[in-house]
Amino acid sequence: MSEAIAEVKEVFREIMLHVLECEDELILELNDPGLKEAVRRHFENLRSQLAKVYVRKLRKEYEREIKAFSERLDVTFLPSKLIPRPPRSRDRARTWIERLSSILENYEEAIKQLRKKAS
Amino acid sequence: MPSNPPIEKVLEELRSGKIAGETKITMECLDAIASSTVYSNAKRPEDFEHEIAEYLALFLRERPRLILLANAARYLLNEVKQGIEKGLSVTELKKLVTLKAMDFNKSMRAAIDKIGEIGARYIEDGDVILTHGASTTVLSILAKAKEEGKSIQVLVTEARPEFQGRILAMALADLGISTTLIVDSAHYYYMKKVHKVVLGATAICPNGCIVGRVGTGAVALAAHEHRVKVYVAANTQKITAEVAFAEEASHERGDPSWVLPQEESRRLGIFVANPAYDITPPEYVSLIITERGAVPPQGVILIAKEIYGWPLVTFKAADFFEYLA
Repeated sequence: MSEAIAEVKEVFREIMLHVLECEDELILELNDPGLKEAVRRHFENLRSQLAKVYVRKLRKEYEREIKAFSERLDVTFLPSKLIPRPPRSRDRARTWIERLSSILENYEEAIKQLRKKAS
Repeated sequence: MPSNPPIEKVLEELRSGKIAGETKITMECLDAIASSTVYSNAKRPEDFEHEIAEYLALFLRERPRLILLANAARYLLNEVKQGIEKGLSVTELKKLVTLKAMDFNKSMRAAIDKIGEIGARYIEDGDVILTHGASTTVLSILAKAKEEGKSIQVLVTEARPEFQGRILAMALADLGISTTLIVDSAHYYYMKKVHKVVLGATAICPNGCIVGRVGTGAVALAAHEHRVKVYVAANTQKITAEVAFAEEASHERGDPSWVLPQEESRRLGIFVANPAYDITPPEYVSLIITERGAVPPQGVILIAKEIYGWPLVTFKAADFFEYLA
């Protein structure tokens, strides 16, 4: 779990605790059972709205992490994903030497090009 | 300086970044030098030498850190100088420059095969070999050893953060060589099982120091401690006369975003360092395998002397322009 997700969880926990405290205090102040029930329903609605915001926020953070992770995977599995194996009929050692040579010559640009081609 | 279209064209391409990659740049510059001789108005051989040196200086000013280009320049100037000593005329020198420029380009291609041939002699059947990152010369040696019917096992480090080792591992496996990919930090763990270490190099200093992909030094040190032989495979065009290059290269940094995305490192308040090269002292290297033969690191200077003449012309900024003056 990343710090961003932990932070979202922590902030939401604090907000919920605060909301619950407010609800308890308000209900203690009231004597009318009808009013108490209305406040409870109101707060329940508020908590449900907050939970929706929380889930949305959390999902966004997870998606961001998954995206970053997939980008890393692209690098991790780079050779097998991006570089095709030379055909059997050719001098494969020579082809590999040439291929490696051209990739290493200008590595970052070569990777960019290979990714573009793959996508 | 007289107008010279081939030189101007390549200079323009260098400035705009249209040509990239050390080999490609060097080949284009040499081709331009070869074509430039047609436009030369030099009357005396010395004027011609000066003209060629001036063109090379212009290229080197655009790409001062390209060892290959500096070596090509050093090689051409040495050949011209020797030609003048032999009493060649300007016309003969023009032919010589064109021929030598083509020779240098050809030798760059041939060197890898020759290194493979020489290096494979040092590989024995049943050897467990460790290599760090990816190098075409190392691939050439291992492919040749396999072709000769030797059964070898190769351990390849990933070379984080760019994972270049994975490309080499894929190539080796595709060639039918038993290959194990290991994380960089595992080299010490495996060293006791290793018979030989074969490494590539970015540059070789005249004193035998190896400038290599970061981590090369650590692998060589671990091998040295385990009494495992370390072979460095590199063509002679990687020998640099610019001793300061090693120092400069050791300060060069790779893109930190390979390690951690920039936005993430900023958010966490972390400074990310990604050194590109390190320097391996000659004591940790058993042999340097070049296309001219295998020599101990201390013998590099002899090869350099043979190819580039003596004393070695340095091309570092002021030195070079002083030389021209």
